[in-house]
Amino acid sequence: MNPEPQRISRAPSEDETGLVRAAQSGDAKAFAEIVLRYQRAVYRVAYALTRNATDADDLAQETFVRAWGAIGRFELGQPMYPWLSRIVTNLAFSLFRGRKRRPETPLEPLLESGRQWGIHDDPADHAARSEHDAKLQAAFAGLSPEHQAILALRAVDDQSYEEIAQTLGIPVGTVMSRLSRARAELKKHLGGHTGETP
Amino acid sequence: MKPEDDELDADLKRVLSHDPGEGYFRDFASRVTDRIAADARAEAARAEAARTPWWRGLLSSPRALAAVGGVAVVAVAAGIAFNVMRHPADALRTAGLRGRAPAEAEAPAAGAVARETSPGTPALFAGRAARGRDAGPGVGCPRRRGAHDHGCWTRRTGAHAGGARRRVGRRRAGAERARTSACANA
Repeated sequence: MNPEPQRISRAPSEDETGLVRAAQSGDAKAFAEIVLRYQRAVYRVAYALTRNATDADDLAQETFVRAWGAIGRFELGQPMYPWLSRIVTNLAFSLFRGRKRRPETPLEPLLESGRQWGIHDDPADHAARSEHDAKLQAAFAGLSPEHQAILALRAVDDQSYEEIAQTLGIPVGTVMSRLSRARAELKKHLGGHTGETP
Repeated sequence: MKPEDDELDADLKRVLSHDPGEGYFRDFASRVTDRIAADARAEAARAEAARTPWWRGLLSSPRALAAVGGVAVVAVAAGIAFNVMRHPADALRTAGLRGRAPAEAEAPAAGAVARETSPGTPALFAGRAARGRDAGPGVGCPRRRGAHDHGCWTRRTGAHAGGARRRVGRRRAGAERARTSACANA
């Protein structure tokens, strides 16, 4: 059995509670400090959900703007990140609903994989991995937004079941069953794309 | 969790991750605070607009002002038209129209009298003579004593006529006199 995935500590510290309290009283500098702490994590989730750098940028900024607007309702002593993660996930769902379509297959990972090309790489291996990544992306894009979100939170953001439950507002048992169904569906799509049986 | 799921998650993490670079995150917080400030300004402007009375908005832009003026003109014109249609007598308020209305009403009776009293007058001139437009001396242009003795009061408008009208009146009176005497001789 695999243990919980490695992840950053998201328990609220004294310092963070002080920052939240200051932000709640209107201190913009304290809120900027909160932004600095969580900007990478929020961008990571935003990109995993949209697979588009421009949309991810918009979504990450909008997440913090919404957080500033609702910081007065945030309960002191609670971890900040699941709350931010929930905002970014809801904004992504709204974006998908607004566009009435799934996110487009982005260019950035292909460029990233191109940058990873080294002199010691085997061209055949590199080509095979690029092809596999493209198929995986296409298979992921074929999933429902809920399955995409739960896989992104688990695989990309390394969130625990409890954190995913907090983020999506569903019970832990539902998280586990939905995650299992999402993986099965992804494998099925992947099998369809590769021509293999799942 | 199955090992193949671990492998799948690792592949997903590689495919769904993107590093925009250190420069992107360096000014990310300032972009967020700028956006918050812009939103706050927009919200304040909306609140200010909500506080001002609705009619102030109509006067704030030239286009709204022109629209309000147009509506006012149409409303006033419609009111005048309605008033005239409802009370036609009131439309005769001008001095000229008011002066003409009794003269038009008296015209048939006076014509009948003229036909009875001067049988020698041709029928063609009887109506005009009765209306007094080209009547003879002492009829069309009665003399008035006192301060306005030098002038001539027209029957049609009641206004004081100048020298030009007086000259025209004299010419017409002379012509009429000649026609009348010709008829009498005949």
